[in-house]
Amino acid sequence: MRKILFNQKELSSNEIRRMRDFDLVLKKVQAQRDFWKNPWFFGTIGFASILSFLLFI
Amino acid sequence: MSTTSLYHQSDTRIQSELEIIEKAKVNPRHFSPLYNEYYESIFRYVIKRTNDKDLACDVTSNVFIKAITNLSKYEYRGVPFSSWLFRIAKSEVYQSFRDQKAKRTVSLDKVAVVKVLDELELDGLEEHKEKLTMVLRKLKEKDLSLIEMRYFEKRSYREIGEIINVTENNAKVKTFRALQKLKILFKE
Repeated sequence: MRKILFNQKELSSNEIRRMRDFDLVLKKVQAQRDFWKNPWFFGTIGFASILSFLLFI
Repeated sequence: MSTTSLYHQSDTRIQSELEIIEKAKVNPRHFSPLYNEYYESIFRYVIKRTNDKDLACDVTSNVFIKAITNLSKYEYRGVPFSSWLFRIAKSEVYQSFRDQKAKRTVSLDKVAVVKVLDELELDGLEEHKEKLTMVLRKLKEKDLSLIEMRYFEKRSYREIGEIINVTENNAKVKTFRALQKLKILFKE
């Protein structure tokens, strides 16, 4: 069930600004890119595909 | 009705954002000014729907990670960059509900409630508060989302249209229908 809240105390702009961390965002973007570039990833996918094909035939 | 001012941008500002976006497509580090500019509005959008500070922080980060990762797909077609970010935020918030990390929350302030009651031709906040809570729980998500954006967050129809990917006129019609449904539920 939805929560309906009246007159919740809002965080100040300063509090929100303190939560910003662009370097962490960049790190996570880079980590995602590295994951897709990782030869192990495609190696594992390739091996699993060949194995399932062999099991199928 | 006054609407949120961040959305209404000058051509110069849109142009300068587009320049930043082009640079950020080459090097994500250049995205920093847009991150700083829109962090607060995206965070507020998320926390109003989740009521969890830590989760809102994570979801907001995910919004920017998705934005940077998919930046190459962004093309300016008259829709401001902020609307594109809000579309991502909308989808990330729903994802957090699906993952059961968050419970759907509707955050209301007194002014917004009075405005909605006014639209429903009703007086007296205290008498109708309980009924409004019940009705907002019954409303379908897509209708609630329109009421929320228009009356609780004071967004223009143009911006709502851009966030939900329909024309300004269509957004107006849909919001009007959502309000009618709210009225019907209120009378039940």
